[in-house]
Amino acid sequence: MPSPKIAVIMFPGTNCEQESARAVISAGMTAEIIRWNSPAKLDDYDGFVLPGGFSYEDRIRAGIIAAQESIMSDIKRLADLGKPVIGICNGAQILVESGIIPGLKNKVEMALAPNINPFVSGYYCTWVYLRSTGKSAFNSLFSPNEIFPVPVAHGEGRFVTRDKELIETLKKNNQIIFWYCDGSGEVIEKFPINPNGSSYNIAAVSNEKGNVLAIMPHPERASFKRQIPNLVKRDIQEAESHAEGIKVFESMKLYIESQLFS
Amino acid sequence: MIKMTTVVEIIVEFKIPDTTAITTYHLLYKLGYKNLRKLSRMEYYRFSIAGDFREFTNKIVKVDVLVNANKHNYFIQKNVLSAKHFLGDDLSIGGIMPILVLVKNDIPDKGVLSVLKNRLGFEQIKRMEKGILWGLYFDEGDNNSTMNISREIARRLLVNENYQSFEVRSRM
Repeated sequence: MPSPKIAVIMFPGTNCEQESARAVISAGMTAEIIRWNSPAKLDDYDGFVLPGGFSYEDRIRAGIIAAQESIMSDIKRLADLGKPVIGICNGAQILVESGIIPGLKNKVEMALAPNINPFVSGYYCTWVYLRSTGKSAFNSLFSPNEIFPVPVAHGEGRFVTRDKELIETLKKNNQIIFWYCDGSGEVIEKFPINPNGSSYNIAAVSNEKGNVLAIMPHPERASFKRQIPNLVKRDIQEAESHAEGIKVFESMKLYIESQLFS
Repeated sequence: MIKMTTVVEIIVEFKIPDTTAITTYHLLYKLGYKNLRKLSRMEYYRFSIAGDFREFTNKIVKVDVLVNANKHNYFIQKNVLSAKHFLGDDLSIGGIMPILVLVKNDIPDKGVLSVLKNRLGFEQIKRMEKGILWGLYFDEGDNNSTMNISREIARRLLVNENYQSFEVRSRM
């Protein structure tokens, strides 16, 4: 079976393309970093990563300008065909601003609004815990309700919507894929467990089919044990071994192999 | 005795090129809005203060929090600023739409408010709202058509109505 080929899409201002590609490769796939205006044929790729960063310097608001680029029409077309797409941090903002996430009404149904944090205005970075829930191409290798540590680093990461029924619909459709929780897995809607005031402690939302994921925390920065703070690493081999974040990318590989290659 | 509060609007614009406004203008052109001649972007502050208007305004423009005289111009007025203040002579051309974008639910910029109140002694501030005031300048079109296009641009690009609201301000 060939190794799934993943395009890591780079917009002007993207800055997490290298570590995203490294996580993709370490999960057993191949990764190519593709510029947003590249003539590369996206149909040749099996899946897509929209990495973190500050596309277009977050001008107007995070993700909105990249969401208008023609490459996003191609990404949407290929996502509709079932190819997996993960947007991490700024990538998540792009997917939400383009309406691909949650993708129920063919319009922009959510926003990643500026953080609400009792101590810090604007950009905030820390380590949080996520709890896996719902079903998607990106969490199939997590046990139900599995908890893992992961960093967040953003100024606009608060999932909100003006549609009062949307959150209930997302819950019913299993589209909420990761919640912010405490170290024992309890979902507590207050800072610092919820680092940005996100509605219902939402950290990641998928589309209805589960093949597109917008996730604000950075699983690519929690994919190797050396990246996890306060974790004892006995030697370099152990430090370079996988941590739980890699399962996001391994789940993506499993999805491609089982759904697209079979 | 009930203390009266006064509303103060402050609009701050760049003297130097505003890269966000330039990017937005080029993006709108690319999206097909060819009769948009110019676009401006200004930071907008609305304060409710208890106390003397002149004392407040004289001090707030000198503390380098909202305004840095090396790169900003500002317009300040009690109550609501007239568009002729911040859109200037171009008003005579017609087809100009000021669009004010605010964050819903009145979530203030805690950092700025805290600095003003706690470090710089602006105890008279009772409330602060912050937004962006966009000026859309059209080559042609009557008021209704430019109003409709402006609303379309706001909804398509300038505002995410899941957490922001907008109003097209009076041009008078």
